[in-house]
Amino acid sequence: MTDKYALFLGCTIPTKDFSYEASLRKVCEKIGIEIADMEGYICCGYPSETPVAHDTWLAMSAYNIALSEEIGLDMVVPCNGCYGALKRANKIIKEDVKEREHINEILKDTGKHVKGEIEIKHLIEVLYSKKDEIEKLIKKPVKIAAAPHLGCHIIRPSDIMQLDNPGILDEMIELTGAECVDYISKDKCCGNVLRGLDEKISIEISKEKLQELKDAGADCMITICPACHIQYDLGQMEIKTKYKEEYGIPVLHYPQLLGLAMGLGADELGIPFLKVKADEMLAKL
Amino acid sequence: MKDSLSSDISSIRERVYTCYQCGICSGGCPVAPLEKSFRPREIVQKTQHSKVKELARGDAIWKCTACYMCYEQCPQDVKVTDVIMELQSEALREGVAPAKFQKVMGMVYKNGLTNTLVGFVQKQREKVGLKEPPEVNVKAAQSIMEKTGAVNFLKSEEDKSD
Repeated sequence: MTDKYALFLGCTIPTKDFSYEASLRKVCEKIGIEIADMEGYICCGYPSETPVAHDTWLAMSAYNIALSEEIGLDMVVPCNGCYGALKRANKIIKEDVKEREHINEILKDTGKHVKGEIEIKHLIEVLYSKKDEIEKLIKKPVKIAAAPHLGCHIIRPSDIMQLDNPGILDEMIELTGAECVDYISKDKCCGNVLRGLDEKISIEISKEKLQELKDAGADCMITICPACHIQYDLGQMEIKTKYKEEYGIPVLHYPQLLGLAMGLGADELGIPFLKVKADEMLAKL
Repeated sequence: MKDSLSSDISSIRERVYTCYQCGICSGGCPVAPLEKSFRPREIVQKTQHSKVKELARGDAIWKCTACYMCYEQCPQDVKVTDVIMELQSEALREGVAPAKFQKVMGMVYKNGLTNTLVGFVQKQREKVGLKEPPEVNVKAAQSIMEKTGAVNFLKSEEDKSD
């Protein structure tokens, strides 16, 4: 099993959620997971994934898959949206020869030719595959209550995504020494997609989960997708301004939680960049 | 069984006829309890009654978060999320889609990504030990959008007066 992957950063992480990038690079380095950057990548095409722009999504994902094939590595993807888009495209590329030929026609002028040779992995899957090694690297178990937010596109639709272990994030949280908080709206969508379409509903959807976590006494929420993260982190600041309601639930990217448990510092993990401050939670450690 | 990813209007019509209106899609939907006009069950019912244009021209279909919960729970394999996306496509074809789609695709055409890296962001990245992110191949994104015709959706938006 290879310990080297091509990292697909997507649109949001490098510009709006770089603390996720910083923390994932740091923990991968500590674990011995090598990362190759994908120079010359493009958007995964998820924003155009309605049937009428079906070809656009497929070709854009295929372009990135072809790039990964050129690098000669499987792809590791830290965003649920990108992961869903790329994995769904990869399935078509591998199984539908006609579609693959059609896509390669579209890609002709880009100089890329996709073959269907690599696998797409979510960051959490790659980390899970190394959980035995990670266990040995836990220096400072994080004794707090952490609520998992898995998100939608890593697991649904299950006929395509085929996530082996739906409890994957729960297990990885427990690995850090944290108590994994169970709650009713655990499987619910964060509502990020409705930003720019219906702000009111977008905020209402996120409020339900935040209230549940506040009532459950969670010290933080853990996300594995920048869209979900923005929805709950920046989202709480927007709720405070618009609705004058506060939940005080810091939202950490999973590698930030893991990094703390591995003895890395809050600063180098980008924790000060979180909009909802984690100071109270950090004081408990 | 046709793969859900290559849906077209004829396969949607076949699939919605297997729906027996159990309502589990509306039951598991995160939006339905918050918005009367958005009920997946009702949308499928209207599609069964060939009210495709009415749905495509309405606001309701744009309240879907694409969480796939309805798709997942449907006992009849209607693939409800795909039905809604096909209705959204119809709206795009008719030129009545909200501006967000064009704005986002416009960014991709311009930058290769939906967001750009501005100078001050790189300064902040440096604070956490990050060098500049990998380069984006904007020309490749443009080539793809031109070949597939997605670029035409941008042009039609530019032609519309604000």
